[in-house]
Amino acid sequence: MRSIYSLIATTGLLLWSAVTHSQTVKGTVSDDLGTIPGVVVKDVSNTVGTTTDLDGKYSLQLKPGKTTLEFKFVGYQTQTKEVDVAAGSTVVLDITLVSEDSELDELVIVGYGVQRKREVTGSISKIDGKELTKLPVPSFEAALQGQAAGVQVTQGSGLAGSSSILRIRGLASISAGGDPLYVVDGIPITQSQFINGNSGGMNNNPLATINPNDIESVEILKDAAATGIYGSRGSNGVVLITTKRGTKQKALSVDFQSRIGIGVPASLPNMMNTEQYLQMRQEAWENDGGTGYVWLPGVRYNTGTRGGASALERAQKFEQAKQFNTDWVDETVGVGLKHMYSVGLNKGWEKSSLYAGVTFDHNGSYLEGNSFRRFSGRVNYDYAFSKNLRLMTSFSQSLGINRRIAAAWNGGMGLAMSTALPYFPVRYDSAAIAFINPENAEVGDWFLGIDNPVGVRENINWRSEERRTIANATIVYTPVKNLNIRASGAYDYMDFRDYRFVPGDFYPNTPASSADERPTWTNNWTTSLTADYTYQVNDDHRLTFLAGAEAQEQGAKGYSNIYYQFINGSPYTSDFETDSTIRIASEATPVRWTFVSSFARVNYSIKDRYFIQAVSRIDGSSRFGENNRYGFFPSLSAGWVISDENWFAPLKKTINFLKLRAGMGRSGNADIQADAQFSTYSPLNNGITYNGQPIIYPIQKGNPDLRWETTTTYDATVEMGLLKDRLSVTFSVYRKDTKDALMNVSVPSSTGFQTYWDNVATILNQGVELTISSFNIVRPNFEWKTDFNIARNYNELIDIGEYTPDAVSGGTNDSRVIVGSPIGSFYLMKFSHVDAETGLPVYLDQNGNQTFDYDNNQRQYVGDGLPDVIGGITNSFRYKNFDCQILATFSLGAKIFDSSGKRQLGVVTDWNMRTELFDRWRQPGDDASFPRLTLDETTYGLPSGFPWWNTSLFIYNADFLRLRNFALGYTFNLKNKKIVKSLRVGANVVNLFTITNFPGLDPELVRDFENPQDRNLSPNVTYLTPPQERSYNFSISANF
Amino acid sequence: MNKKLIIISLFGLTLGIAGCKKFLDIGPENVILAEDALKTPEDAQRLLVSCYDVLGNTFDGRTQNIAELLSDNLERPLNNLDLIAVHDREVNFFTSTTNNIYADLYRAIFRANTVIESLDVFEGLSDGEKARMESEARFIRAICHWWTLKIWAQPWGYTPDNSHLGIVLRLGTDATPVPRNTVAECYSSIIEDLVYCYDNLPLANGNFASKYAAGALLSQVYFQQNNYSSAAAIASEVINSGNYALVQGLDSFHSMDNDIQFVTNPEAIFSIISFSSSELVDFRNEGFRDNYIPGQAGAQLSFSQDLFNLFSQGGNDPRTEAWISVEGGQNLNLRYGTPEDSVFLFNIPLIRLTHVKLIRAESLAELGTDLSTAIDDINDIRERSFGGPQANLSLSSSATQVIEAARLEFRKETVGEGYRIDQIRRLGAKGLPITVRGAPWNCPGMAIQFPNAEFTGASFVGNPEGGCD
Repeated sequence: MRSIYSLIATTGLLLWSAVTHSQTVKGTVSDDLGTIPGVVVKDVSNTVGTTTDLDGKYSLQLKPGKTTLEFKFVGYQTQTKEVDVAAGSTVVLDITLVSEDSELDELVIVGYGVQRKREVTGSISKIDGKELTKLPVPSFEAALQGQAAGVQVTQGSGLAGSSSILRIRGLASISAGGDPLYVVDGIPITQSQFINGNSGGMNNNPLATINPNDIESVEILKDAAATGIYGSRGSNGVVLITTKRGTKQKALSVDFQSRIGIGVPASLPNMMNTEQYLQMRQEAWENDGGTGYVWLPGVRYNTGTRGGASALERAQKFEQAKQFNTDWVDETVGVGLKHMYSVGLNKGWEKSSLYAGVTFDHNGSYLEGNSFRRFSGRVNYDYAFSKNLRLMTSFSQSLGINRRIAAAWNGGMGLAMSTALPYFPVRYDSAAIAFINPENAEVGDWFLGIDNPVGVRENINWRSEERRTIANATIVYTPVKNLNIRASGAYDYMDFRDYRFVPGDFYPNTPASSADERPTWTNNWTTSLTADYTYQVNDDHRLTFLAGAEAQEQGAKGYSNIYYQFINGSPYTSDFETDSTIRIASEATPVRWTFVSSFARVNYSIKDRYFIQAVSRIDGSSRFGENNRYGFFPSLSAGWVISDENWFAPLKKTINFLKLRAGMGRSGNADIQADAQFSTYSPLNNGITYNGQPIIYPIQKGNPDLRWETTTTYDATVEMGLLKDRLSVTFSVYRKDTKDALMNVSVPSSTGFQTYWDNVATILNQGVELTISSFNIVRPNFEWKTDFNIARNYNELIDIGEYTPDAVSGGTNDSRVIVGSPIGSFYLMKFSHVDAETGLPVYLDQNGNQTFDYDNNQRQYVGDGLPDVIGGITNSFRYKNFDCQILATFSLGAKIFDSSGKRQLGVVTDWNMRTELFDRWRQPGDDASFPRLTLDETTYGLPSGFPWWNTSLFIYNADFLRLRNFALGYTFNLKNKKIVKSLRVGANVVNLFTITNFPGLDPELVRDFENPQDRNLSPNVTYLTPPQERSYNFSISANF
Repeated sequence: MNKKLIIISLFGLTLGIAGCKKFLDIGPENVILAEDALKTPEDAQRLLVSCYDVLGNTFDGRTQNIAELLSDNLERPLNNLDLIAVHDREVNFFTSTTNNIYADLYRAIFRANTVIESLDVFEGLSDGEKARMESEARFIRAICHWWTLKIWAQPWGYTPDNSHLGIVLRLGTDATPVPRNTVAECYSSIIEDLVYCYDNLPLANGNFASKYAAGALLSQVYFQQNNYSSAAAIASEVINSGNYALVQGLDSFHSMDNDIQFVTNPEAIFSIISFSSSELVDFRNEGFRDNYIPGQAGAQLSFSQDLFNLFSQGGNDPRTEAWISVEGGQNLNLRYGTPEDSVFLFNIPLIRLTHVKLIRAESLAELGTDLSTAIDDINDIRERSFGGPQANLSLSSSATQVIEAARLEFRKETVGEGYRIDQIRRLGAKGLPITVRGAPWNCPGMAIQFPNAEFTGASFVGNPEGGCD
């Protein structure tokens, strides 16, 4: 291996020796083991350079005078030396490089403390904050995609501010929240996506107001050894976010970043135009035995309803329809404008340090009228009162304003893909009035036979505002050496409001303007007290103790809705309360829950190569009844740096680092409805009466025996550094056994209730993860590094007791719990083929027999949305001052259920259809993808009134490889660094292309969900979900 | 030493916080814990009224529409997919409209059972109050079981010993999944409840269940069993109570009850009450009001041509014009409002004297014991309809003629109310050659499918889906 590098190095030398002058500096580069070939020797301003030869020797021609040389080699600390070469002279400069344990001495945040990477015994992926600002994403968590093995990040839709789903080593929950715990600077933050329910086809994303520019690093804790310290909340992993802090005794340094860009849809739906729609509809009508022309939905006939209208009138309307052809997709989609400006400053004094940052980010989506703007500011200030008393404070304030539009099932582009038929006009003209024949409409009025996407966008003023304050203060007291006592208090406040104003003149028969407001206030307090003590027994033995206690309280209150009515046709007003004539407020049920925890961690280090860690945490949660309130979550792990053993020395030239670690432990999940344990009744004054008399009524049936959902995790990992870390490899295997998984099961309606919380399921996740980091080429002017990660996870629902697959379901998404299959399996009728003779769909029943009958009792597992293999590959190049980064992410083995496909490609209804449907059966002998067209669902064997053609025909392979980011940059050589210290300009394209066989919009998708259970069960179900965007961006970053 | 002290005290503090039990005692907010909810006699009454509240939401027309759609009185619904499924007798376990109605019926039953089981918990409830409350609760339980049985099961007589599956009888608040009871068991339980109610309910009870409400309902149940003597006997007691009188004129529910506080429908024995006061307008008639009023594309529900022909036969029944309006190719039902007057408040007389009289007439004619009373009952209805005796049955009519007249009047008088299906099933089970829109009276889809959730956790046997083509 070394010889190849030497060859490269020699070639480099030859190239560089072409520019020969008379001043020379030469020498040998070595380390404690001998000479090193391939070391990059260059002048710091990149004008000349070379690499050392096989014997570690180099020679470089310089201009006369002073030059600063840099000696750089992977795995060693870079050294710089100034040489002064007189004209015509030769200077000998031998260098000894010191090997760098940088990777291993790197500090990793582990929860309530830091550890050297070398000592870490759990599985933790660290992602540098810089990676998060490289590409514009709706919310910071989307930028984690492809960065860490075993961390599946499914980016949200094209809606501004949409949320991504993170799954760390699979999914271990069913009805309880399956997202990881997000901890910002030690505070488990408010993270529920359901604060505003499912409104307008979108869930609010509370992470969107977090400013990625403030983030120093993100640590993802994956196994129990790592998450154990978060005990009851670690089942689905923990994401630790650490914000930037000032550096002591540092001159003022200011970072400026700006980015502008545009976003367009990554793909567009192929909806039919009027001519195509009419043709398909007419064919369906004739297939069904209809004579004359087909009736048209959304059109009022005078002579009867629907098919009952006269043949003449049907013919007239059919002809009239051809005058109109609205491209509703085009009406709802445009180009989103993005611009971001961020300033961060860092200053340190003798006793204190400061980081302060402000960012404005305007993220316009390609959906017309939709944008997310974030204003955020942060001040992190540290002050040392004395040597043993320090104060650390953080304060951040952000405002996220989401200019909302209806999407998915609720309207906008969703309607453009469904009930907005191409013959519907945007506004009425006289021809449209004659055609549609509305009861009352005038020329120029909006067409309102549907919730006109353009009319709604231009008239209804809808926005969400989220004000978020996250503040914390920590006092660190060090009474004696090696003992730190920390007391910390934190507050996370969210004021979320959703406003929707409808002007009175928009909808007919509603002359009064009205508005809905939905405010929610969330308070989240966390206090903790910890003490850590390091006891150095002797040179070989060191013990570190941590003990602590934490209490958290979170509450939310607000209004489920406040309805305002204004005087007829009033224009939009910012003060609903004063300007309205009617105000009806419905208070939401307040929610409150608490946690108290105590925890301890002991780390034992022997000879700095044997590491043992024991963690225990006891959590108490208000969500469980007295008998099951406390959960005990222990973990035990150990690491062994084999490469430091004496006997390993002969191998060390090749394998410079080898570490083995393994751990096991238990973590939990309690993220369920706060009062699920209680049987409750309505309050006395609930406002509901019957016959004018007040009532009280039972609300829910509680389960006082609810207990923690627990996951036992086993993990074993090998970490390896080869050729002085030129190549580093981490390989892990793990197994997670979840038992007592919480399910909000459907109970027979005859019990008087619909659902009931219970500890029911057993779930298995197991898998392997591989991370490889390789410096492929390191030369003076060219570097190429590859980071690759890949993970395989196997998920299986082992047991759900006596329940059936329908016991819980993912919203309307036909995903169910099927024993033996992954969580969130699609449970549908299996489609076989189109019968060539009759053109009818042929299904397969549970025994594999062909049938023409669609029967919901014959539904079966037809695929699932969980990928088998996920990963990312980043290639980074540097050529002189240019840099280039290419990130590709991939997912294999998941399926997509195109739930809207069943309406766009099924029974011909009042939905527009996609052009794939052209491949339908028309005559005996046709080998077609889709059956004969029909207006009658019973033709396809479906029950009457049930056009929900839930068949595996709409299950697709979701494998994809996506060029997530393609970035180019140029860093200037600044002659005068007095003011501007560094300057880089860059350009990048996000989602440049995607390789996939999925015929729908986007193989990577997160739709809107009803609740956490739906979010867990229904990954990869699309229902008119807007595709992700492709964005083109320019950026500039400077340091002053 | 100092060090150790600190460490020890820290651990102490840690345990102190963790041991803070109060901090974790968080009850739900804005609600009452079940154990604190039921204390006083007022609580008991409020809980009881909450059962009626569910009835008010369930029998606002929604439930009646389902029963009516299974019969031959209505056209195929305009575009409501779930209602189309009912009409086409292809309800499946995902049909949410029927699933929700089912859940509501049992929600009322659960609350009624809670009342019954909690009577001893309320402090200071007199024995008289307890008896009234228990009997009202049992009335609610019975009427909900009854309508569930009507819609979700094949009728009495479908099998000779009525051992075919009925519905789940819920006679307590126990939440374990249970299988369906037989139809025979269902009938006997409903009858037992109603007999208890009849013996214990007050003669008059405001807008709530009274003795005669139970009696009238009981007559329907007996009648459905072809138990004519019991049906006639109890119907007579209701009629003879003198508490109820036929409305004069052609009653359209909406016009009759426009000012419901002031006008009481004299023939209503048990009604669903819409309420209005200066602070509150409480509609409990949307199921009727919203489905029968035409919108841009027409009305969701309209009368079948078959029914229209029945009314217009002979051309002189004034009810035709009073109740039916032909517009845009639909036979609109004017009893629940007119297209011109679409916002209104009216009560729904769920059980009324007309029903009782027609049940008595047919029962007596079947028994052949008191034909003159039967004829009088029918003629009372006819005179109201025709404004005079011109269409009356002759006093010498035969039992068969009386039976025929009673059946015709029953079908006409109850249009939209969900009773025609009982008639079809009863006659079918009696062996008469009767079909419903071309399908046998007992084809599988006539008993609609149970909700998906009902199949959870027990060996629950559903109904066959479809099969009525």
